[in-house]
Amino acid sequence: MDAKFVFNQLFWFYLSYFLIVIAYYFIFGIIGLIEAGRRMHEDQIEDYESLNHSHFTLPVSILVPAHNEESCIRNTMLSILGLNYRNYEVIVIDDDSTDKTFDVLQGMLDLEAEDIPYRDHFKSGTIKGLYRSKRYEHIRVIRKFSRGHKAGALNAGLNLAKHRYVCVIDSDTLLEPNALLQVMTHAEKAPERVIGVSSFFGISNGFTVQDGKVIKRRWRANLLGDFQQLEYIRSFIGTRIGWSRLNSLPILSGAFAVWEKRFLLHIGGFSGQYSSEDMEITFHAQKDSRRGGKAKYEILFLPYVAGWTLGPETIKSLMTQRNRWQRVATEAMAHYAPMFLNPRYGTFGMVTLPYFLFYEVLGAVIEISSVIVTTLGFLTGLMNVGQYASFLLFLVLFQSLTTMIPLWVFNYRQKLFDTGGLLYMITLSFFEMLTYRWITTAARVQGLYDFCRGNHAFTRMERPAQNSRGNSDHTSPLKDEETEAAVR
Amino acid sequence: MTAFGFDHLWTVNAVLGALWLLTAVSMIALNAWSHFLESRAGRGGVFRPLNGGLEDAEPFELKRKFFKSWNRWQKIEALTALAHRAPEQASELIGIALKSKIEDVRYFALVAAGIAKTPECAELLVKSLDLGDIHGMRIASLLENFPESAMPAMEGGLDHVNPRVRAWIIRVLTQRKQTPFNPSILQKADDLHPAVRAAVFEYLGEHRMAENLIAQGLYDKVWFVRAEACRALGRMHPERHAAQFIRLMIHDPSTLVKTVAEKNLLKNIDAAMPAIRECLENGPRLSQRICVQALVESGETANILLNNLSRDPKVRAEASSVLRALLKTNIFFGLNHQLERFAPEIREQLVAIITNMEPSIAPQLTLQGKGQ
Repeated sequence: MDAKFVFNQLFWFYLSYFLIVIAYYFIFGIIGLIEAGRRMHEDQIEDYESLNHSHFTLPVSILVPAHNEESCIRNTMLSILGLNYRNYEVIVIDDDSTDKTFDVLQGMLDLEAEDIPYRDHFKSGTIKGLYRSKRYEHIRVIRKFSRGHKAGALNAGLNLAKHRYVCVIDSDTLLEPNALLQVMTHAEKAPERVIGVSSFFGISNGFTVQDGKVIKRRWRANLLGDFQQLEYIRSFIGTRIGWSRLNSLPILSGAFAVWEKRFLLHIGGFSGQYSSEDMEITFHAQKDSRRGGKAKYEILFLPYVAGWTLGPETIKSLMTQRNRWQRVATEAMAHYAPMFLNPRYGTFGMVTLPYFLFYEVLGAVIEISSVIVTTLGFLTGLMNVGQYASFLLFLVLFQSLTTMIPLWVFNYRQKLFDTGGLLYMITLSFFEMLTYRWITTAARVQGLYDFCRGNHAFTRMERPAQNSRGNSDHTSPLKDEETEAAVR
Repeated sequence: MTAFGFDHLWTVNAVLGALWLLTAVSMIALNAWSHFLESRAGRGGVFRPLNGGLEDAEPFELKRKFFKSWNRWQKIEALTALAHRAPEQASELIGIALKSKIEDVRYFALVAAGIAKTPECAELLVKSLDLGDIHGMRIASLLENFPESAMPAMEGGLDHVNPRVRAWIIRVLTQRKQTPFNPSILQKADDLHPAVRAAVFEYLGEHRMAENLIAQGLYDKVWFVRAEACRALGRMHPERHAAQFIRLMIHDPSTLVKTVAEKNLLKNIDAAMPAIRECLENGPRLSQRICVQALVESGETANILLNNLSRDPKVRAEASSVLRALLKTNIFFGLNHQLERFAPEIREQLVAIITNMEPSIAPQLTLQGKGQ
């Protein structure tokens, strides 16, 4: 077996891999287009007002875990207070913050300690104190010692949550006013079937934000943020809308997801044994749902813009985040491996997991090795310059197309970008493979290595500087009238 | 194979490049076109008016569109536009749409009925509750906003053969605060279906009516009916039923019923005091423990202690009897912790009173205050 034969075989493998991925994106692009179209029609015709003013609106407990979030917690709380939804409570879990997170909450919400029975069903960590807002009766704050990463904080909130549905959001997520109403309408139609719902959210880096509201969306302000925006669109719209159609979603992101509480209690709450809780809980839900064969429950993903979240603003923090995401994906895949290509788990096992294993888990290794192998082939004379350049161009087109198809679907329905913004995003997608992609690929390979070494740490992302949110001083306690005015 | 892989890669690239170009150009063109259309229509936000210029269409045209169009969304838009523009003509079409094979058409027919708000549409929604196709909660949220003129149609559902319909109609009536009390609902308290009985108790509690009838519901054999009856009494006069609540807290197998009973007991602890004292003095061991728990959770133990020093002899006698009963139960209720909160002179007086009442407890008492 000579080197040329091995090289040719490898080259064939890589080419097939990339073409299959593109085909997957095309098929899911078409499914996503149909599904997004249906959802947008529903959104246009739905009578939200009757739902919003009804006593029969499903009540929701919103859980906001926060660890050292003094710079963004105020805006997040204001965005929650500005929600168009009739019946909800908010539970903020201050997870052992060492900064002024609690002071910001105290100043904004006027908290008072309360003595209420609290039973820790999930061993989520010792409680420092329970507080209720004097200003907003539906807001509570739990202060606790950290235990079990973010999952521990969420479980502490779950201990207190009293409503049938639980909405989990990150402490840097800014919700659009209709976010909860739009997702809960789908739960309201079939509460006995829908156990999880989420919707699209983008990156808010570079946006102007005032009092919890996005005042101005700016696209060309932050290159790293814009690349992440593209990546979010690729990930959410490229595959998740289609997976949602097939009821085989592998993840409802922790930045914004609604879960049925009874189901969460049934599976013992969020698991703190993983690098992150959101993917594991969705895998768990899929397994539980399909135990008897046909899926008993529905987990939905919608194409509406539900909110905005802060992405990393430095390469270092981006790599830390992607390292963790890679570990989470690999942990979930390893733990639920028996579902892979198992017909008992329907489309989840047969359609979602193969993509997940080969693109999300092993994709980074395949991509990086394809470049190494072809470069070696070029250096050893197995490929000429033209062939090598042709392969690199193929990679660029591959990457750009996997982004362009979801971008097309998303913008056709949501009209998020103006023509200038769209041109910019198209250009960015072309250059992604030459720049940004290698940063995340390196982080993913590192994540895979860390997984093999048994690292399950929940590494927290460095928060970007406050100015990206367009706010002045978040840490100073707000005066009553300031908060009231902001909420109004 | 100098082969396919290398030499034909340019062909693959050309195909992908063409695809890329097609995607980019169509995306930009579509984007510009849709922005142009949107600026003309002036749409935006979630609460958008209808698509396709149907806002000004005549009812006849809308009906024609509903029947002729093969596109489900055009059908649905025509239906909702008709419900907006000519509600009195919409019910016939909604009735037809409700029988459609397409789930989206059936669902939005219900939404259209909620928009039209005519008595005929109320009747259709009540019938839909019977079908069980869409969850009752969504239909109830639509029925809730119907005008008074639709009440007879809704109340017709009270005698429906399907208990699901009866229960949801009672729940809708419960939320319609402006609607006068309907005495016929009282008869449903004996309904064979527990969901209906539970809804009746919720209705009665909301209207503050038929307290004795609700109290009978505390003995219902189904747990959620008992819980609803308990909740309803909590809205009315919880103090009158303190003994019943204590009984439920001890004997009821359902945790929810126990929790609701406990909440009711805590709502007006002063009024519940005679029943609690009676239980502390003569009740079984388990009842005593639950009463102590209620006193601790309501924060009443501190008041009982302080009232023992009151200048009002009546208050002092009352507090003294409760404290004596409390001490006699020999149940831990954090007495030392309570005492530590008071100033030294008050603490000393209280220790003296307690020692006098129950000498055996004296060695366990501390005279130390917080920080001492």
